[in-house]
Amino acid sequence: MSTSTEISAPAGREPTAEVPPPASRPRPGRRTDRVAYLFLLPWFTGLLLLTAAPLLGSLYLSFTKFNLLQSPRWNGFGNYVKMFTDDPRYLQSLKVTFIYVALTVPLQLGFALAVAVMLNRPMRGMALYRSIYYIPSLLGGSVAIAVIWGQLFDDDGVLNAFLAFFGVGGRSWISNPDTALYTLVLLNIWQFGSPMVIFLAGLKQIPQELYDAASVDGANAWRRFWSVTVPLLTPIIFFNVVLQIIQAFQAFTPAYVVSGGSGGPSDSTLFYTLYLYQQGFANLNMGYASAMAWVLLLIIAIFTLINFGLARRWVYYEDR
Amino acid sequence: MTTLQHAPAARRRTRRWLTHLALIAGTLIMVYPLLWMVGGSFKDESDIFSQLNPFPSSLDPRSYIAGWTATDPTFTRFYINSMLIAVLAVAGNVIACTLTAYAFARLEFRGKKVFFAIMLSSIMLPAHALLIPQYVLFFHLGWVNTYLPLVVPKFLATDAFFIFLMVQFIRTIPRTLDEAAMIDGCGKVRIFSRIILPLTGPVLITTMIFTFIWTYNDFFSQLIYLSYPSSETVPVALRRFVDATGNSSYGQLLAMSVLSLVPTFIVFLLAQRRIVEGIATTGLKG
Amino acid sequence: MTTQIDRRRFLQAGLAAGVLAPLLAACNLDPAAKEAKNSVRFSSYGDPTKLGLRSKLADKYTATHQNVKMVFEGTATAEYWDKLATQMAGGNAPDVINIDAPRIGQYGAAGALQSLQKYIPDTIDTKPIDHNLLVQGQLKGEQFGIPIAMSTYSIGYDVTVLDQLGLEHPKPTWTWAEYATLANQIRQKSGKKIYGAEDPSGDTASLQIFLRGKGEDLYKDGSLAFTDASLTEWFEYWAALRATGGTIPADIAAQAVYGDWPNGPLVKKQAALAHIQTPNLKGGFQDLTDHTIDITLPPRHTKAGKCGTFPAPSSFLSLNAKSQRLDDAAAFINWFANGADAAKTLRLISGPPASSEGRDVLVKGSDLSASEKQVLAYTDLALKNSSPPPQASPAASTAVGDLLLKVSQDIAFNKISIKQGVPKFMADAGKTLDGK
Repeated sequence: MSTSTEISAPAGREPTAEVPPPASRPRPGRRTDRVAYLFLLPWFTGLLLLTAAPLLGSLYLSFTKFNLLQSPRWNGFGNYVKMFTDDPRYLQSLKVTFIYVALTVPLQLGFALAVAVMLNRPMRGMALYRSIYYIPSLLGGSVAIAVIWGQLFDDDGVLNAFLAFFGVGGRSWISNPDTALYTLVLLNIWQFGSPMVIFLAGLKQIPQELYDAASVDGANAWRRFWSVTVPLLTPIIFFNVVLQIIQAFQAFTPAYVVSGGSGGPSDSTLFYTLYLYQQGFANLNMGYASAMAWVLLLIIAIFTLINFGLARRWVYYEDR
Repeated sequence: MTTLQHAPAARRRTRRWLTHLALIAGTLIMVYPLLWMVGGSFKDESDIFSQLNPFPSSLDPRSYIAGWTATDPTFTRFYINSMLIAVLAVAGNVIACTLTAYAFARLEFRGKKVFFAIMLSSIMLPAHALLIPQYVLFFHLGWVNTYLPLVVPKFLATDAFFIFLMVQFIRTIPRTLDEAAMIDGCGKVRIFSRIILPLTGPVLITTMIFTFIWTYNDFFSQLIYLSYPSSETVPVALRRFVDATGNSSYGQLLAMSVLSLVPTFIVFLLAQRRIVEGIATTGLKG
Repeated sequence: MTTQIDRRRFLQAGLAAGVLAPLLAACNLDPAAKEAKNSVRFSSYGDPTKLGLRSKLADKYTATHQNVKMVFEGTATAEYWDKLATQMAGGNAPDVINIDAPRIGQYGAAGALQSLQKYIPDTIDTKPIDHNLLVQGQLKGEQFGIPIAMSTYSIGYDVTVLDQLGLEHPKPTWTWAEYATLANQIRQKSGKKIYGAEDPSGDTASLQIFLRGKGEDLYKDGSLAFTDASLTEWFEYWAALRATGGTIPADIAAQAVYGDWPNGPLVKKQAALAHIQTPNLKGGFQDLTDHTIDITLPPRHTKAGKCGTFPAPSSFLSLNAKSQRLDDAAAFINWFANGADAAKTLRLISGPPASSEGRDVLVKGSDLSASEKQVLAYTDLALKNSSPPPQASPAASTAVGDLLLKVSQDIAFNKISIKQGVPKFMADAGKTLDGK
């Protein structure tokens, strides 16, 4: 690397309300970089050719009745009205999804960050641990997961054997409507590989010099974590929060683990996108499914906007 | 613990052992399903689900041989197809997403805020709702039954996940570096290639890993766009072993599932070293 | 190589990929894509064995027929319908479509399938095919699908367990009361180690057998064809067994969502009675357990009463209404459904052939395996005991199935009472069938 640089220690940096979100408008006096459009050329092409048309297509379909086999018939706001006035299963799927998002996002990210910090230590064997800890994420929604989760949370599963040791009577956690969803929350926490890797990559961006400087100042590991690691990692934490919320709202495959995709028992794992899929592909109500998709987009967009709004208070960027 | 306070080396050693202990305990939880899969792939069909013990009584590879050749063509062809798609997707994502991310993170242009919002919102719509309009589009382009619908979008930066990821990483790079380079007479393009690219090593590797694994596992679009046996991929072929209409072959399913993990595991094992060795050891020393 | 990303390497890779992408666009990657011109596409679903055999048959047809090139597209069952619906919506569905009974209703009613009426009897000979099977592929008297094989609902029982407990095997003339007695005996005599039967209360196929024994059915002319009282009786029957351990508890039942998932209670030795569709006997049950499984007719309501079972087509072949090669496709369907080549190749892989010509070829051959004989013998028994078949299912039948599963689980988990659940289901299902 030819450029010589110096790094300012984080001590002097303070959070300010002026931190621009990534999409800030050009500041007065700063001219537009014309070369930007060159960099954006592939993306623009993709947007116009591949992304925009399907997006608008599905928006149109959301105002129609469309059974995939005949031409769509205009239905006005019919689908949207039905969703909130005449479809208890839809409301159930909303409820299931919100509970899932609220539990799974903070727990999974907390776990992923803790493990990433642990695996970031310069110790022997870390490469192997990192790979092993990624295995559950490699498995995805495979058939093995369904069987394993059964073995853990069945009436004759490992958890009950453990509880019986303490004299507590168990039950089948995975197929009881009161607990099934929580076993899926656990499953998602267990598959924490992707945010962990992103955290690891972020941790590696933090220059060792900053830790050394903090050590010289007498900060212990805990202090170093809060005064160096966390502030410098906030853009990455922010990324993971935004994306995990999006992905949790779109959770689909975990429901296959307990119910073979039915959303059972008693609709207790009827995730939003699972119900959307059932409507669109099993019942051939693609108009209704499209309307559901756009409502979900709206919900996610609101959460994302709130996230970006809050980010001004806690995310520190180096590029101000 | 109090005595250890005065002996930092001993204390560090204890802590190291505790860390290892915790990590090994975690390892058991993480690899159990893999053990079960590997064990099951060597068992008799009638023992797979009725025995809880994951260890097989013998190491008979018949499920592997039978599974590999159960389809026509064999899995050899499917692996070649899967690899080809995944490697092309990696190339596409790395190139197109870095370019786009650099523009969003560092350059000023009109409508940036709006474009950024559009970019992000493109991943907020559930894939199942986009499937039909996308299929219609690709069909009219004449791309159905080719790899183009799986590969071309990557070269056109349609994967907003990675753009946003890279934007966030680029923004952790101090702008002072850009400014120093600017004083040295570098333009935006040179700054991108000389400063930003070399400094985003870990996130580029992350993008490569995830793109490879996710494309390799991206069952649904491969299912929809590829119809002929000779163009099929590993995950699509895998699904055939479980069949609700009977004649399921669970031994073969498990054997092929185990093998299907090998490429992604190797990619992860090799690439994750690069994330970790990335910048901390070489980067910002200046 | 240094550990950081080397700029030159990155640019080289980029250049290589940049050249590669247009190259990809230029040359069609897929060798099979060229075949798609002027050929007849045939799509099918199933496991590797089944798909392999059907693909071979398609090749054989190409080899023995001039001017027709069959192109085979095989997909796993679970995803086949998603793919077919997508292809239909895109206007790119295959010419010959392998399809099941509920989808004939869905797709046929929407005009996506070609009526076969004008090809019968000249191109497609339906005389050798059992009338009861044929009518299940008809909509308003018009033929939309040609049955290729038979599947029959049966009750499977664990011979090993019954013998251990000293219990008599069920007879083909048994009643629902005897079923309950046997289930409870299994529970008691096993020292409460296992339950008696599976819990099929949320399974439409099982409910249908129960209803047909009473002279009712699931659907008639697109509406529900049974009374609140019958559904109440059905749920109460299983609730009583649930209370005594004659059937598995609600959570184990929810674990094994109906169908032929290997975690089913019969395979896991949690219960000794479960329903089995005949083509699944071997691969879905017998091969997965070391116990012996046998099958018999489902129970009747009285000793002299009707048995609700009926031979159902395992699947049909239909024509895509938008096909450009309708005549060639119709000829292929006839060859596949009636031909000796097809029967010899497919054997009982989806059940006995629907065409008597095909069945004769098999029965005359002397190479039947034990489980093939088991299925053939049971099919003969079921054919003798079956009553007239139901009409093709209405388009919304899958959605009604979801509703039944849901309400059965609500009842089993004591979320609602049977008294509340039955009218709720009847109302919701009625609304779904009306397309509201």
